[in-house]
Amino acid sequence: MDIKLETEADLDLFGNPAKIKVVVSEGKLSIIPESGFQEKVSFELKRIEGFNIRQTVGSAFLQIKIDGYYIDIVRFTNSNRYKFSRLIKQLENLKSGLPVSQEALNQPNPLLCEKCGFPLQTEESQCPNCLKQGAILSRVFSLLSDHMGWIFIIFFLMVIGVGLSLVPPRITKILVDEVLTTKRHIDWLPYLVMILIGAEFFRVQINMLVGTISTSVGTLITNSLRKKLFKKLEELSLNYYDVNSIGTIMTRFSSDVEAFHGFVTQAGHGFLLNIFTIAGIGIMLFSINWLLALYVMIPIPLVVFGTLFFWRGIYPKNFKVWDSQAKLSSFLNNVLSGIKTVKAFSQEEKEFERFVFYADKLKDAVRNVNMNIAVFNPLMSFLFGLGGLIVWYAGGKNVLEGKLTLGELMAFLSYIGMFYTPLTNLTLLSTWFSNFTTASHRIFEILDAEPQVREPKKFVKLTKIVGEIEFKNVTFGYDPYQPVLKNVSFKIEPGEVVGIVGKSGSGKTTIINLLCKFYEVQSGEILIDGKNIKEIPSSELRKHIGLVLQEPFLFRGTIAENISYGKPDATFEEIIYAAKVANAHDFIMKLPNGYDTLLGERGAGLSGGEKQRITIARAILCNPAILILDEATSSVDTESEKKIQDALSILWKERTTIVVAHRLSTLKNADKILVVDNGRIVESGTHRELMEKEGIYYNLIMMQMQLANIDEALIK
Amino acid sequence: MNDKIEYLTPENIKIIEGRFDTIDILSLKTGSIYKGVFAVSCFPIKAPYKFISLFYQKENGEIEEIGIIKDVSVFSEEEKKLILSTLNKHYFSYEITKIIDIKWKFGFLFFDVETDKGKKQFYLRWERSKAVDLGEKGKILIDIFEDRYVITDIDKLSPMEKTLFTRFIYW
Repeated sequence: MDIKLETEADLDLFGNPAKIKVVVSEGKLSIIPESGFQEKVSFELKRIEGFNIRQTVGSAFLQIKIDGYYIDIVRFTNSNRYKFSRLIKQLENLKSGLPVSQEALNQPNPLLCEKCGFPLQTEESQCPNCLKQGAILSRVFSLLSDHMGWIFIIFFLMVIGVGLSLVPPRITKILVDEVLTTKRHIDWLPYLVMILIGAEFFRVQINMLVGTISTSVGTLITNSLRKKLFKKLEELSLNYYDVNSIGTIMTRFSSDVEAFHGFVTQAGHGFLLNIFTIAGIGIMLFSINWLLALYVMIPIPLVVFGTLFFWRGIYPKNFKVWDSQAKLSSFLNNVLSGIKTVKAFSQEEKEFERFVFYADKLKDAVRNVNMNIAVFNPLMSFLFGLGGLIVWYAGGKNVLEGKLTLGELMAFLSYIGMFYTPLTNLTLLSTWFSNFTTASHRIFEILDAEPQVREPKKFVKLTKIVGEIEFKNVTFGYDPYQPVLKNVSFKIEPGEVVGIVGKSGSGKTTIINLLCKFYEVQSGEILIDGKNIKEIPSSELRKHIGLVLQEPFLFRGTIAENISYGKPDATFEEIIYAAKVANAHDFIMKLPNGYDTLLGERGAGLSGGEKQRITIARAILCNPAILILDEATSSVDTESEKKIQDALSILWKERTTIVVAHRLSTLKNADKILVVDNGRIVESGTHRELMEKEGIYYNLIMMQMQLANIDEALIK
Repeated sequence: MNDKIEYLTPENIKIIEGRFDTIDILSLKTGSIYKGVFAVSCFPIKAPYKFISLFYQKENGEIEEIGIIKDVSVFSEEEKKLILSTLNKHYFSYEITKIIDIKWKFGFLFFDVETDKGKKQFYLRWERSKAVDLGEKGKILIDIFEDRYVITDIDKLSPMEKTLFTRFIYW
C-alpha cells in the first residue's frame, strides 16, 4: 500500500482515549481505529469537497465535506491540533494536485521545547528550562557591562567595610584583657577608643559610599534597561500584543526591571557582603578558640533548615498577597471608571459586597503571611540566642578555668551577634537567585522576541507610490489553525475608491491589518505598485498609508500635536489646513485655547465625532497615497458623520482610498465594492452591478433600507 | 421574549439520526432538513442540559443557529439520546481523581495527576484565567494546549492533595 500521509488521533468520536490512525493512500482517506469504540471507515478523496477543523470545548474534530455538509470523522485533544491543521494543509495540497509531505506532519509541536519538552511562551521563545542559570548570568553581566567598573569599586569597598566591621570586637578583647581587668596598659585606653571610633567612622563612610554608588548604578541600569525594552516593544508586531496582555508587559517594566536594581544592591549589601562577613567572622572565631567556635556551629543546621522550610511555605502565601492586592486595585479601577453605570443601575450595594469580598481576601492573605512571620521570627531569635547561651556556658567555664580570657569571651559574643543574621540571609540566597533569574528570563524574553513581521534585509526607500494594490491568494489567521482570510485575491487601481463590506467577523479589518503590514500573510502575497510588501520596510510602507480607525486614539498633548503626530515638522498653516479639510477647525476654534488645547488621556474632553475628525486631520496632514478608513464613521452620530463624510469626499479624489463600512450608503459612489464573507471575497463590482446581482450586498442594502424606513416611520 | 428565541420542541422539529454519528433536524414548520447538526449548551456549568442550542454548518462553512431546546425531557427517549450524545461530543475534559504532585517552574505549574481517563501530566500557565471556577466548589484547569482538567469538588480531595492544590491555586 502506497501511504502518502499518516497520522494518529488520541480520542474516538465519543471522547474515549483511543488510538485512531488517519491514513491517506491510493486515493482514499481511511480512519483505522486501533483501540476505542469507533468504526473503521474510508472515503474516496475525489468525493470529499472540503476539509475543516471543528473546534469544540476541550477537543476538536477533523471534518470532511461530503454531499454539501460537514461530518466529523476524527476527534483529537487540543494538544494534537497543530498536527491536524498540518494534515488539512497537506490534504488540500493533495486535492489540488500539489506535492504533499509526510515530513510536515512529523514535525514536533512548536509550542514545546524540542530538547526538554518544557512549554514555550510563543513558538519563537527561548526555553527557560534549557537556558542555564550560568548562561542567564553571563547575559546579565553583558547587560551590566557598561557599569562593571562601578560594580568592582562597590565590591572593593565592601571588602574593606567587612574588614573594618571585624575590628571592634578585637579591640574590645584588648580593652578588656589588657586595660580593664589586668590594668597592664592603662595608657592604651584613649588610643584603643580612638581606634574604635576610627574603625566605626570609616565603616560608616564606606557603607554610605557603597549605598550611594549602588543606588545610582542600580537606577542607571534600570533606566537603560527600560529604554531597551520600550524600543523592542515598539519593534514587535501586533501579534505579540495578541498573546501577551498589557498587564503582563507592564509588570515586566516595573517589577522585573527592578530585579536588576536588586541585583546591584545585592552585590553591594546582600549576598556577597554576607559571604565575606561569615568568612571573616568564622576566621576570627576559630582564631580565638576553635572548640568554642565549633559550639557556635551547633544551631546552624536548625537555622538553615528552618529558614528554608519557612520560605518554601511562605513563598506561595506571599504570592497570594500580591495577587489579592492586584485584584483589589483592578476591581477599584474597574468600578470607579464605570461609576456612572453603577449608579445608573443602582448597583452600589452589590459593588460594595464585591469590594468587601476582595478586601477580605487581601486581609486574610496579609494576616496569614504576618502570622507566619510572627511565629518564625521569635523562633529564629531563640535559635540565635541558643548559640549565645552555649558560648556563655562553655566560654564562661573556660574563663573560670583560666583557659580563656574575659576579653576573648566578650569578643566571641560580639562576633556571634554578627554571625547568624548573614547566615539566615545567605540561606535565602537560592530563593532570591531563583526569583532574579526568572525575572531576568522574562526580560530577555522580550529583548529576544522576534517581530512576526520580518523586515527586509536590504533597506529600500519608498519615495513615491501611485497606490496600486493587489492581493494574490492571501491566506491568514491570527490563530494559524483557524484562517480568517482564505485565498483572497483582488486588485485596486491607483486613485480608485474601494469599499469593503461584510458581516462583522467576516475578515474586513484583517485585510487592512495585512495591507498595513501589522501582520504577515501565511501564504500568498500583497503587492503595492507591483512590489511585494515583504520587501518594503514597514516604516517606509506606512509613510504612504493614512489610517483612520473606528476607535479614534488621541495621545496626551495639544490638539496641534495630535494632528501633526505623523508629521511633527508640520507648519501651523498645514495643521489648520488639515483641520479645515477634516471639518474640525470650527469646533477647535470654539475651545478657549484653540489648537493649543491640551487633551486628556485618550482625548478626554472631546466628543466621539470631534476626536474622529482630529484623527482624520492627522491622516490628511500626512498626505498619503493610500487612505484607509476602517469603520471611521460607525461610532459617531449622524450629524458628525455627515461632516466627516463631507471631509472625506474631498480626500477620496486625490488618492487610492479603501473604505471599510457598515453604513453602506457611504459606498454608493465607490468605484468598486468588495463583499467579504467568511474570509473570502464573494462579490465584487460597483453598487449598481451588485444591486443587479441581488446577492449578499443586495440583501445587506435591503436590510439597511428596512431599518431606515422604520426610522422614517418613527419620525412621521 | 419568546418571539426573539426560536424554541425547538417536538411540535416543530423532528430529530433524525444522520450518517456517521451525526444528527439531522427536520423542521416541521418549513420542511427544511438541516444536516450535520451539533449542540452547544447555553449554560454549560450552571445548567448543562437546559437551553441547548442547535447549530448547523452552511455550505460556505458559516455556522448558524437553528434554535434552542429549552427542556430536553419533552422529546422522546430516542430523540433525547441523540441530542445528549451530540451535546456531549461538544465537551471534553479529564476529571482529576487524584493529585500526585504539583511543581512550579518559570511561571508554569506542572501537574502529575490521575484522571478518569488514566494518568496524565500537563503544564498550566500560573494565571487566574487558566484555573476557573466550576460551580461553588470545583475548578476547571486549562492547560497550555487548552485541554481541560476538571476537579468537581476541591473538598473531596485528600487533605494533603487539597493543601498542595490550594498552595498554588488559591483563588
